[in-house]
Amino acid sequence: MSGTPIEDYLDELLRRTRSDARTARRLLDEASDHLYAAAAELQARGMSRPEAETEAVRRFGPVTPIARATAPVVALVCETLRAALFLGGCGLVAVGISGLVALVMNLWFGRSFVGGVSVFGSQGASVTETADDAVVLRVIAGLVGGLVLLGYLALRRRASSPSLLPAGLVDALGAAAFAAGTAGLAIVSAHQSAQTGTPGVGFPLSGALVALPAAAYFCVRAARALLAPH
Amino acid sequence: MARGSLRNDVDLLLMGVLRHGPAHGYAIIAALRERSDGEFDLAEGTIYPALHRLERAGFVESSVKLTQGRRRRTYTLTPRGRKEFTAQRREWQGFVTGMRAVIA
Repeated sequence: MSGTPIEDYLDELLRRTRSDARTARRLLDEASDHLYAAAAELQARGMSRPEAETEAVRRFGPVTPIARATAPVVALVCETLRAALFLGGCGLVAVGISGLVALVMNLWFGRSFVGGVSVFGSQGASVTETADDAVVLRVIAGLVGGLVLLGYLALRRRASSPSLLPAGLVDALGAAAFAAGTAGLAIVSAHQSAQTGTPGVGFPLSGALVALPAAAYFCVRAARALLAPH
Repeated sequence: MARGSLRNDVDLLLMGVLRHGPAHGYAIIAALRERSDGEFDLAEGTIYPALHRLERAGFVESSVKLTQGRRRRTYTLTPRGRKEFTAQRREWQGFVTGMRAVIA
């Protein structure tokens, strides 16, 4: 339901406030009094009512910093932990997907492409073991990541209020982490290629191939969050 | 000498306005803007968490009155707040003096 700019703002403030009931009620009382007083003054200076309300809301400032400033520390800690759970889960799922990419590489290019990184040389059982581990252990990590993400979704469903963290922060952190992962793994792949040729290159390359689209995905999410009107 | 954070500066400004007498949030913002010649044009909503913090610290106290059908909360500087204001102002003036001596 959309009301006037001031009513919409107060609704949003109520949704985002995490403090105890008395503090929340008091903050809403004060915000309401302030916004209506400001709008009345602006209207008396010649603005139309909708313009006056919009300007009063603009001057009052974004909701999130106010809600954050009144939130108890424990709410902010929980929020941060939830974000960490999300990013950690995404990271583990990406590791799992890189295991599937390694499986495809094993099938297409042979096991030495992934497993040739073994310290025992590029032949024999150690290569097979490394190539298989690159698949199995990563897929297990991915399954754990899936469970972590399910836990995150359950926690998010329980939390009734929108996030107190700055818009786009978590996505920007995700983009930075995956971009760093892409760069690091690409460098290791190039180094491995220079050292041994193709054997072992698939081990880091399978990770880089997953980290790159993940970085792009988080970049788009961050850009959308940062550019959205608040 | 150590300078406090921006949070301390906002607290000092709010106490600076309230030392002239009780005021509600909207009047505090208007006074801040007027006395600073528009220099301190804060996001107006940010003063309320700061006022709540000052009240929890015992530096201001508040009371509610019904004005034009709305509940309006008025803040008053307490004696403890007045002492705190004096101490913070002294620190700020020392900082300004030091800065002036260096950059003048």
